[in-house]
Amino acid sequence: MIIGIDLGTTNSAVGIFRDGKAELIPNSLGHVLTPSAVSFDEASGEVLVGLAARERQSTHPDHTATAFKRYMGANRVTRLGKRDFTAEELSALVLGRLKADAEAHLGEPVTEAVITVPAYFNDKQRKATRRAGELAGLKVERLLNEPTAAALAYGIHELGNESRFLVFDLGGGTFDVSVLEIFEGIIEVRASTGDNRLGGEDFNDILVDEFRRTAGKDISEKDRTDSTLRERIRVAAERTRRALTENPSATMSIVWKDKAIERQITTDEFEGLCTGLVNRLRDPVLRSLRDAGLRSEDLSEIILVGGSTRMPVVRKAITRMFGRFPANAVNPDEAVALGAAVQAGLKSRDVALKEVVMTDVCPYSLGVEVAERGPGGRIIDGIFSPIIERNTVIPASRMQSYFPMQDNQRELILRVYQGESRHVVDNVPLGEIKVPLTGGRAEDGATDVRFTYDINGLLEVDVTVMKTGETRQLMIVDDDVAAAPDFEKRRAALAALKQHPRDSDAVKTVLARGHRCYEDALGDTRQFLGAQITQFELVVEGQDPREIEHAIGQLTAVLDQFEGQTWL
Amino acid sequence: MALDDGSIWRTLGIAPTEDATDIRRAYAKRLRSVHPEDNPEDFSELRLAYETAAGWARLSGLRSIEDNLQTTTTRRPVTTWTSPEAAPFPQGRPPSVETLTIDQMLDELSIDEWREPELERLRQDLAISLRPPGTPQERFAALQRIFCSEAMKSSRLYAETEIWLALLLRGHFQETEALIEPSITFYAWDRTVEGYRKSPGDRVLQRRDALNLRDAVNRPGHRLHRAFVALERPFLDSYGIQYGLTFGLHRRVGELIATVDCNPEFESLLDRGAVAWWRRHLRGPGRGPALFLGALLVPVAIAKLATSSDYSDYDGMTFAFIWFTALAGYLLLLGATVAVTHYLRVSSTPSGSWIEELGDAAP
Repeated sequence: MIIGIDLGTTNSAVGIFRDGKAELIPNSLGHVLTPSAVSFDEASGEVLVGLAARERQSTHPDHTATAFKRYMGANRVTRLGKRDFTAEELSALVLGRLKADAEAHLGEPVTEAVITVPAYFNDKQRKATRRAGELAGLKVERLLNEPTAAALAYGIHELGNESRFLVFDLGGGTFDVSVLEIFEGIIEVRASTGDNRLGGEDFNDILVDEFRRTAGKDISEKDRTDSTLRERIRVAAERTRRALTENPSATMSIVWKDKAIERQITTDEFEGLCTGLVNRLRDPVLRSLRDAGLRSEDLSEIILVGGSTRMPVVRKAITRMFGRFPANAVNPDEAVALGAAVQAGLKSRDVALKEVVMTDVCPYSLGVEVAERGPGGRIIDGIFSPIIERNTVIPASRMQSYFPMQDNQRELILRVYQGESRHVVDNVPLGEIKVPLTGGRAEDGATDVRFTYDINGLLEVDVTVMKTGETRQLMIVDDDVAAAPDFEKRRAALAALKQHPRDSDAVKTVLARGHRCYEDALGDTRQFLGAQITQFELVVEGQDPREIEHAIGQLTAVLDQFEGQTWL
Repeated sequence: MALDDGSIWRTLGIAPTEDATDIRRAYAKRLRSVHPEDNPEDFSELRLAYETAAGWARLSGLRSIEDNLQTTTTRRPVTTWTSPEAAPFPQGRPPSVETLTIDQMLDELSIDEWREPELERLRQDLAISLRPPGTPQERFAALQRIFCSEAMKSSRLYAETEIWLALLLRGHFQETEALIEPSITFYAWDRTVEGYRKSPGDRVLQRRDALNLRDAVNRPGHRLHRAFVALERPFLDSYGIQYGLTFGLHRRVGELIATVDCNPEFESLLDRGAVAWWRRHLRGPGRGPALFLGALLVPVAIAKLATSSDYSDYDGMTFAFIWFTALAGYLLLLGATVAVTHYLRVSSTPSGSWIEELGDAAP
């Protein structure tokens, strides 16, 4: 059984294709979305994942990690308590939890998965995601681009029609645009582009900055760097941003040192603050349309994916860009996971999907570093020469010939890069290959470089020296993941972490939320919440499942009254 | 993997063609057996063949457009005139007036010494020289010279400009823009002057807006987009652009207005006047009371007419009978009209989902 996983910046979800349709698998709390948050509980030595962890974000900022997908592929470690985690290890913990949820739901072990990544994730970020999957004990059958997944979820119902549509995917931390076409039952990605450092979190940051600038005077210089305060403002910003979706104005408020600090913000004000971010949405859209050779009038539908597209600011910008109101064709939170499940079904050759073929593209250009002879014989090096251009349909194989710069050159160094910039320094280096030459005249030293990019995004470079017929090969692949010396060790270390048991997740979650609310409250409310929490803890110690369930409902009702319903 | 002509068509499994649809269909058919996951090498070959063939098809399409362009230009060569001998419209000119080229007339106009009657004559001459027969291009070129001349700056051509612009707009070229802009800035038409008489360019500007809107709405593209365009820009009732809009677009506009009702924040993106106009338009004129009154009055009038002739001896009963017959006829006619209108509306409105409309969206 292959499962489809949407590993998101804010939320993750897992789905499966069976009985001819894709469905999402609920977690232990009965939600289909699991927050991508990991928290380390010092007291019990357990690792919490999901909503319980997210609730601890403002109460235990030093022990909780969220939005770590933004550091995927970077050498940045997050310290939770005494232990260091990389982004891929944290992702592995989330994936492991999703896997456990799927196993509990399906009643059989799950070992294979399709995991989605933002289309504009570069090679390093993709590899990190794949490694995270392997660390969680999942064989990653395919890394699927998120907008492509959303398009699959949508397109599977529209196969009979010829249409061209655009997927606008603004998630918690990444932004992708894909232009797709359906014809003759084939789903073809025409162009794909994006910005992998733009998402809902950036909109939060804007609110955080604004709050610090205007309401922050009440906070002393010394406290400003405090991590608890930072997390509290961040949570307040998230809440305010969600409130602004519904209401014309919202109040951003935090409790710090027993004092409430508030800042009223209106939709218009927020829109003004976001102008810069909204402008950044524009370029990828224009580029993808240009690459696909379409005008916005030709598109039959704009599909919005990702929770951030619910923001009125973003929707307005989209409306202006495309000259139409976007349609709510899919559920922006669930489409990607459903698409991943469809892909899992395609992968396992489900009979219901026999006739469906999907082709994807490589979203960025791949090439090598070359030198050019400029005016006056001056050598300019560090120039990028693309071999596979962006938006080439994959799998693809392209070849180009290069010559040595000098006569009697003994060696050719080919550095492989990925990106669009003319200068390689601005692109992402992928690897290097050295080819020995026999010397002689430069014109005779033709060397063919063939790039083969397969459907999983693995690049193979073949170099052939024409004169000698000698070939060299460079595999820019990550099949060495499992073979890497410390991999097993890391996996064992992760597995050794004591995971919080699934069945008491609900207790842990509501308790974490209670503690957070307690810290956010003042005066009598605080007293009251404290009493409620104590009572709840007593019930939990009693270990009577029915009473615990009842108490959970009661405490949740109290907390809902205090701060409004919790969000996912 | 160099592909020659033959191997491309062999790979696609069809005879050589320049029809993009056939090529696409062949590709789709072959793709089922050459799956990108199982057979990457054959797939990239197929893809290459498809892209090459599709490229040729596009090229041949371009070539045929080019050919058409060439034939049109040879059929109707564009003439340019530089000397008085090659003056643009010799036969359109009344014989009584001495022959001057446009340039000469413009020079004359820019001299300050003229009295009003002579000025009037010169202006008329200019206007005549702009009349047909002359291709729109020729007229356009002549106007361009007028607009760039010194005489224009001396504002002696004030009243005429508006008429000329309106004339040009009727034929509406893209290039008209180039003429409108300088005149607008020159006369400051875009600024309303307090206590001044009605801005002369108002009508021209309005007309230009209306034409722009009509162009934008009638441009090929998806209906959702066109409907949005129709709601986005300001226009006045009197423009009459609604004639260019189809029933299908009406429905789209209705949907958009419904969206706005649900999401008030979008209201700011649309033109309030346009939305209000469309609301009224979609609701239709209030015909109810008029029809009811008609149902009462028309039969009465008919009955009155029928019984008023001299030689008749109709009594009250006959009057009532005729009145009834006329009423029944009137109602029948009304019913038939409503049915026919409804049928037309239904048959011209696509019934399925939005996606079925793509057929007419393709450029």
